[in-house]
Amino acid sequence: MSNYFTSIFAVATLGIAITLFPACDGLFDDMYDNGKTSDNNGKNSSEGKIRQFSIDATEYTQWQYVDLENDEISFVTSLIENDTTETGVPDKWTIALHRYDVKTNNCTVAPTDYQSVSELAEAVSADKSALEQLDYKADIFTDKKITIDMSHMMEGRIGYAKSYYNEVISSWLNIDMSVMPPIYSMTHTIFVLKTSNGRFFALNLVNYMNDKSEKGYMTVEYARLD
Amino acid sequence: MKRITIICMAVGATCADMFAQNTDTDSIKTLDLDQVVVTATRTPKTLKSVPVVTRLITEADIKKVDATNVQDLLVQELPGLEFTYSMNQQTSINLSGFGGNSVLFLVDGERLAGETLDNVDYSRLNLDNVGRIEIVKGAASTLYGSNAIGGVVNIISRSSSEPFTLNLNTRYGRHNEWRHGLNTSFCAGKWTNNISVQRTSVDRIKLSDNPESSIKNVYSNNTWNVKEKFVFAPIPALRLTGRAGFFFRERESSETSHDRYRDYSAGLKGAWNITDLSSVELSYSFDQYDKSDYNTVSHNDIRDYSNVQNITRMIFNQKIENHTLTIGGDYLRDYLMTYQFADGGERSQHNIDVFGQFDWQAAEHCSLLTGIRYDYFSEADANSVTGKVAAMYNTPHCSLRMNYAGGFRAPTLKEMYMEFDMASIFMIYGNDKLKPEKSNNFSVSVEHASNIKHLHHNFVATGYYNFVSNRITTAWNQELNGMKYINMSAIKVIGVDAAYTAKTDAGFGLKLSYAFVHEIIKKGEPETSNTRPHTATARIDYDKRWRNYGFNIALSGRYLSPVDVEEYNSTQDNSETTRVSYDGYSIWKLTLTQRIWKAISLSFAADNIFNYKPKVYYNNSPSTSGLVCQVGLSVDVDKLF
Repeated sequence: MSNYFTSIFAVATLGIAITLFPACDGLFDDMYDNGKTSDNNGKNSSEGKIRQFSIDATEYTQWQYVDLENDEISFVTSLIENDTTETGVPDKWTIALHRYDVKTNNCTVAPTDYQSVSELAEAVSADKSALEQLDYKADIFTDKKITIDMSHMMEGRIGYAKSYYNEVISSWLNIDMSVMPPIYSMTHTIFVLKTSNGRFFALNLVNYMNDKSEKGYMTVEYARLD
Repeated sequence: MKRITIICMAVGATCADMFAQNTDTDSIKTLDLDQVVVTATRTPKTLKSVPVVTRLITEADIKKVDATNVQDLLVQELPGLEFTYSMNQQTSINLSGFGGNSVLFLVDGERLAGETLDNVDYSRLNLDNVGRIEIVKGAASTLYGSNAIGGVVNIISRSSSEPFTLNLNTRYGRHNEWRHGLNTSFCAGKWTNNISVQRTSVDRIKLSDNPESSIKNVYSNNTWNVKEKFVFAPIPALRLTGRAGFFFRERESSETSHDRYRDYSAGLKGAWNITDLSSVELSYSFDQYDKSDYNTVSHNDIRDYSNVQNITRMIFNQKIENHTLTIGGDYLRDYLMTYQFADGGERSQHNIDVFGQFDWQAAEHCSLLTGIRYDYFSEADANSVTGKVAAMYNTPHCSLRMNYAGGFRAPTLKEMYMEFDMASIFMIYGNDKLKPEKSNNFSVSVEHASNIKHLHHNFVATGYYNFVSNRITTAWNQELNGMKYINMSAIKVIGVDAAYTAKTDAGFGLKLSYAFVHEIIKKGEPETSNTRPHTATARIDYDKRWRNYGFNIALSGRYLSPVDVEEYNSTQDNSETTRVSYDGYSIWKLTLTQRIWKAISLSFAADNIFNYKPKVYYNNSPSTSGLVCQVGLSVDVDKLF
C-alpha cells in the first residue's frame, strides 16, 4: 500500500515540476498584438484623393512641420529653445504640430458638419461654393498654450512658449484635465483649411496614439479639395 | 509558561463571571461558532477554539448582502475597511490604516498575482461558488509571508457533495448593470467537479458635473470569470485537487483606449492523511495577471504588464496528543514585465521560506500557539524572521485571547526597479536598497457567547497596537528631481474592534460592528494619516420559512465618519500642510429574498435607500449616483425535478 501512495505522489510531484518550468515567464504571448512605436513616424499613405500621414509629436520642445501642398509630403522638426525661440523652421510649410496643438502658415481653418473627409470631398466636388460659406478663423497668438516644460506642474508652474496657434483645428482633441489622468476624446470634426494662396484641404485627426497606445503620435487624414 | 497560563485563567475567569448572568449552559448554537476555519492556523479549528480572532462571513451572509464581488461584500460586513479610488479610478483598500500592499488576499489559501497602485484586482474575487470568507486582522506573516502585515482575507470556495447541481442566476440593476452566473457540480464516486461562470457588465455612471469633483464619471466595466475545480480521492486518505481559472475585465477609460485585464490561474494540490495523526500537503500554484491597452482605432491590443507567480508549497501536520505541530515551506518565483520599468523591461526574483507552528493545548481551557518563519528574497537580498505567540483561555461562554504577531513585506520588483515617466511631470525611481517593512502587532480580545432562552448572542471586542517600521513609500528626491521609493520612519496604529451578533429562534438576526483606528505618523514623513477614525456596519434581518415558500428581508448599512487629512502643499516639500476635511456618510441597503419551492430564489434590492449623493466626489467618496434598484433570479435547476 505504501508503494501505492509513493507512486501517486511521485506522479503528482513530477506533474508539478513539468508544469512549473514552461510557465515561469507567463503564457499566451501570442494573444496580444506587437505595437511598433516609431516605424510609422513621418510616413504617409494615400487611397485615391485621400491621403494620410503619421508623425511623432510627443516632444514638448519640438514643432513638427508638414508641407501639404507638394505631391510628396515633407516633414521638418524644429527645436524650441529655452528662451522659447525656435530653430530649424522650414521655409515652406502648411501646418505644424506640437503634441496636440496645431499652427498654420497664414492659413485659416473652419469646422464642418461632415462625417468624413470623403463625404466632404464629394460635397465639394458637387458644389465648390460651399467652401466659401464656412466660418474660417486665423491663428491667434498665445503665451499660455504651447507647453514646453511640465516638470514643475506639481508646484503649479508650467512652462509655455510664445507662439501662434490655431484654436479651431486644435480642438480636434479634447483633453479633460480636471481629473487625473486626463481624459482624451477626439471630436471627430472634419476641418477645412484654406491656405494663403487660396487652396483648400480637408483635415481629420484619425488617431493621437501609436500602435502601442502611446499618446502624442498623430495620424491625420487629408485631401485637397480644389 | 505556567505563569502565563495562570494569568490567562485568572483574567478569563473574571471575564466569564462578568458575562455569566442569565445564560444557560447549552452549547452555543446558530452563531457560527462551531464552524471550522483554517486561516489563522492553517489547520482546521472551530471558530470558538481558534486562538486568533477570526471574522467569518458565511455563505448565508453572502446571500443576504447579494454582493457581486468581495469589495461589495466587505464594505457591508467589515468596519474599519474603506475602498477608495486612486489615480485613474483604480481601486485602493484601507483596512484600519493598512493599504493594499499590506493586506493579503488569498483564494483557497493562494496569493494573487498582479497589482495596480499596490492593490490586487478586487473584481477578480467574485462571490460565485464562494463558501465562506475568513478575515484575520493584524499581522500573519509567520504563516503567509510577505504582505500579511495588516490582515489576511481568505476566500474559500464551496465544495458540493451532491451528485449533480446546476444553478443559473441573473440580476439586473440601474445603469444597465447585469450579472449572469452559472454554477454546476458533478460528484461521481471518487470524482467531484465544479464549474462556475460569471459575466458582469455595467454602463458608464455619471456622478457629477461639479468641477471640484475628482471623479465625474465611473468608467463602464465588463467582466468574465470562469473557474474550474476538480477533486479526485482515489482512497479516503488521499485527496488530489486541480483547478484552473480565467478572468477578463475591460473598462472603457476613453473613447479610443480601453483598459483590459486578464488573469490565468491553475493549481494542483495533493493532501495525504498519512496516519490518523499526521498529514502532508503538497501544492503548486500558477497565477498570471496581464494588463493591456486596446486601441479602438488601430484595433491593437498591446500588453504592457504581466506578473507571473509560480508557487510550490509543502505543509506537514503532526498531532501529538491534543497538540498540533505544523511545518511547511514555500518556493515562489515572481516575474514582472511592466511599462513602469525602463524600456518596458522585465525582472524576476525568488523567494524561499520555511515555517513552523506549534499549537499547544496547555490545559482544558487554555491553549498556546507559537510560530516562527524565515524568508529569503533573492533580488532584495533580504532575510526576514517573523514570529508569533497567541494565547487563549476559554470557558463555555467566554474567551480571552492575547496575541503577538510579526509581519513583514519584502520590497517588490516594482519598488526596486521602477523607472517611470509620469506624463513628463516627474520621474518615479525604484530603490534596490530598500529594507523590508516590519510590523509588530499586539492584540487582546474578549469574547462572550450565550443563549438566553430563544436568543443566541455573541460579543467580541479586540484592542490592538501595531508598530510598523520601514514602511515603503515614495518621496521627492532633490538629486534625482523625481520621486523615489524609500523606507519611512516608524508609524503606530492603535485601534479597537467590537462586534455584537444576535439571533433568535423566531428568525430575527442582528449584527453590529464598530471599529476605531488612530494612526500616529511623525510630522514631515511622506505619508500622512487619511484613515477615517470611526466606522460601523449594521444588519438586521428576518428569516421565515414555510413548506414551499420562505423569505429573508435584510437591512444593512455602513457608516464612515468624517476625516481631517493634513495634505502637503507641495510634493517636493513636506514642511507645509493644509488641513482638508472629508465628509462622513452612511449608506443603507434593503434586500428581500424570496425562496419559492426549493429551487427558485427571487431577490429585490434597493441600495443606498436614502439616496445619499456626495456634494463633491473625492477619491474617498462613495461612487454612488444615488438609489440603485436591482432585481435578481436564481434557479437551482437540479431541484426543479
